[in-house]
Amino acid sequence: MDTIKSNFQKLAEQARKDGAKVEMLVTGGEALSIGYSKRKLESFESTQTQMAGLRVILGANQGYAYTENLSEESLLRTYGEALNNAKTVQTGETKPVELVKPQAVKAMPELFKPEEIAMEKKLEVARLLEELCLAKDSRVTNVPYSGFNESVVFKRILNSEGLDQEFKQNYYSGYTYPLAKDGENSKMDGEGFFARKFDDINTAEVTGEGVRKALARLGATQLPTGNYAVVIDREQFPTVLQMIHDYFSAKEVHEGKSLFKGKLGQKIASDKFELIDDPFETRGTAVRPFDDEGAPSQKTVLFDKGVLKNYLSNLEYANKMNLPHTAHASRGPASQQAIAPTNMVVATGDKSLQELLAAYDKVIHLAGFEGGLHAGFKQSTGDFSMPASGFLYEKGQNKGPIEQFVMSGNVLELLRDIEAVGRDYNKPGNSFICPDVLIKSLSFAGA
Amino acid sequence: MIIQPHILSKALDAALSTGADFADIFVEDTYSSQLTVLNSKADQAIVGQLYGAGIRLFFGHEIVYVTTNDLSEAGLVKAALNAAQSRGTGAASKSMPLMQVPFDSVHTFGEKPWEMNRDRKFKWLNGIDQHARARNSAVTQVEAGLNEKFQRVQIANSRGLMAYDERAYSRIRMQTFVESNGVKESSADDEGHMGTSEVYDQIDLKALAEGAVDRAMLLTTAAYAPAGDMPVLIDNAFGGVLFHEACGHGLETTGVAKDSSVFCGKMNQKIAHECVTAIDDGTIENGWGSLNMDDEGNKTKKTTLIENGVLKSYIVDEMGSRQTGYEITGSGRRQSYKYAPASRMRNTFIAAGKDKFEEMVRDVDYGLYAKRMGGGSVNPGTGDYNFQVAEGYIIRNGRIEEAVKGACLIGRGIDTLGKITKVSDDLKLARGMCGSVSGTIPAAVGQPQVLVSSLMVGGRAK
Repeated sequence: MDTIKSNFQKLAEQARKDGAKVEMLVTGGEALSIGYSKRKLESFESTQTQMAGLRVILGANQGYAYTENLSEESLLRTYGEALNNAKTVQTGETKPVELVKPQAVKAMPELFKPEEIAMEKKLEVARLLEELCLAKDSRVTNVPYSGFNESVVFKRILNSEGLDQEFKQNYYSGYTYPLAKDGENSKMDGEGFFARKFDDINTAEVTGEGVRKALARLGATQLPTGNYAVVIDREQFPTVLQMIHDYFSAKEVHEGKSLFKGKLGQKIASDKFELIDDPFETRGTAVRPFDDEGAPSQKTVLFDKGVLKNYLSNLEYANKMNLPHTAHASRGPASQQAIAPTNMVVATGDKSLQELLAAYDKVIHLAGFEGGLHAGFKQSTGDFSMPASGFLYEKGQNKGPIEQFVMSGNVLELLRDIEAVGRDYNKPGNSFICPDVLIKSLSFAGA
Repeated sequence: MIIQPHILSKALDAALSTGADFADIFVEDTYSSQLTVLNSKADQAIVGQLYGAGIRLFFGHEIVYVTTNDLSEAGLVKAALNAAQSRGTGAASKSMPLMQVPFDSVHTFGEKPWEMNRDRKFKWLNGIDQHARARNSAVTQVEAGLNEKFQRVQIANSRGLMAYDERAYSRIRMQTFVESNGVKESSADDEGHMGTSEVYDQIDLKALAEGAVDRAMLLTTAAYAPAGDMPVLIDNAFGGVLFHEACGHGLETTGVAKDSSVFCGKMNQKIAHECVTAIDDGTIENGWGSLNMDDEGNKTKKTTLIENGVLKSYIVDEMGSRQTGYEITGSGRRQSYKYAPASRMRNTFIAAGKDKFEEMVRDVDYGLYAKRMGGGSVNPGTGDYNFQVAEGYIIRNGRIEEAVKGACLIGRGIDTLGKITKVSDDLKLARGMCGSVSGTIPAAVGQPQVLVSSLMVGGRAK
């Protein structure tokens, strides 16, 4: 028996004596990060991490504690703290919280294929992420941010019902952000990659795209204020999905925080909008065979022709709200359990990007949200006013870059106003898998 | 947690065994606690421990960084050797004998988070819940939380420095949701300091709770902000986040050394209106972004960044000093041992000026009063920034009038610095959490009220 298992059994034994249930989530891994700057190796970081998070259940109450010291003594102390926390919490509920029972999960061995790659090859990828940008165009004067990462991560869950599941994956990622200058005008943009095999890394493609994006921003003008049709680029639509990300959580619905509360089975989005949650989609970074309390993953339909079909649940909220158990428990060792989607996959349509951009006389191709969600989205109302950049199209022709404008609206209205969906997906590298999306009208504040 | 000097020396020697010209070790033992009251009930209690070390090597301008959770002699030496052998092929050198820097804190702490009775903590949180609910029957939900952290660090380097420090942080936060005439809104606020939690006995938590409810209610009837260029009067305290994002990050040597900041090569040049003096001060007693020493073991300083519009200093850490030649300012910071340190801000603010707030309002014919700033971001390569305005009002004919929502400020740091035309005499600081290359760290922002003569306001097109 391995040390983690034998230590956990001592916790489970103690929990039985205390009349409690216990779950241990252990995560960790190894990461290598390499960065070049001014054509010299700048940083080389190698980190190993491990952390155990304990959840102790006393009837309807749950307490949490975590530690990075995985010795038996430390884990027993941490268990004591979690038990104490469970005694502190008073939810007022009477129905006991259950742990997930041992069940078969889908094996996903293809996600853990460590490769023997010589260090020189990894250094070369990191070097090229800067070098190829500098070599590509004389207007690229500097690459302030670039780097290569190699990651091996694992997650293991054990509980006092006898469950013991482990999942490992390894992957490579990287990014490059060239700064392009033309006189006094300077613009930075970039591109990233995500690969499960080293040979799939294409530095020429990544740097080519990064440079193209930075150069395309040069000479941007301001957009006259008004309402415009907009194509949200497939690489940017993830930001819209992030806005609705938490609304699917049964816990958020129960607490009255979700704008989807009371809307199950209703048509609240355009019939062009179809969305599923797919934990088995290997292009996504949220792939997993079981959720963060060990329940086997499953695909869940979220929107079907604009109709909201499901909330997402963990075992506790499936029981509490009498909902299907969709296995969407989500937590890290240092946080309490929440409910969250895995890979959100939007169904494609049949239009090319060019066709979408020619749909109206004037169309904005929205190519960048400048600040992410915290720069202008209010989850409690769905209202957003997001600083953005992109290109103005007139009769399908690119009239040049535009910047320093704010796109405003309400995310529920935006979902209703989806007019068409593109046929090509964004590149892998995050948990949102989506095409270009045409919205018939949104408010833009510019010059 | 005190690692014996001979163990640290062995690890440092291992780090220097392949030609590195400098090495340091950062050992951390951090206790964290988070308590939450949701809808009048104790909803959440989490405590935990971070426990590990980061070992950093310099080979000229190249940084090698490794981490380990094994703080035994064997664990630290093995990690240091791995770091050394991953890059170096040069000759070994020895570290200097370690000399302990006396631990002399300028900050005062009370009961440590694990010592204080939990009932006392829940009393504050329940108080916030009750005050918010009593304020207005439109309140549908209140969440109040107390986050506490107690970090103990030990730092040793190959130049012979050995130092120990303790940092306590406490922050009480709340969020309230209201529903009025079918319109839902929410608002949040917080209090806290670098220190322990007894401070909440002195802080008016009732005012905190009521203020948040009132702001949420105000938003239920507010119209959307107009769009366009206009004068913007930015309030004091958290209003300073704009300077932090739009200028402060550009002054960190992390960016300056890479020539990726708009402030590169501008030392001793005028980069702002002469009414602007800006300071980054790591020494304020119990200040949110203060430290006795930074995360490289260097004593923190009070650094004048901009004086009467002229650039006087960057924000400099060990590597930044090596790369740029500027003197270290005690600004090497990191979230935890999991991150190599980088040059980061501490308590950063625009110094008080001479103008009176009331007169500044009177001077505006039509503009926006940004009373509370929300989140935002900056493109470090260009200085382009954007900020949400969490609470804003229209100024019309020299008077603050109706509230507006959904406003967003957009600009470029160096342009905006030149357009600050008035600075009030009422300086206040506020707490922020700053995210960058070395993780998320507590950093105070601050300013007196400032008037920006023209700024792009993103609102909604009519």
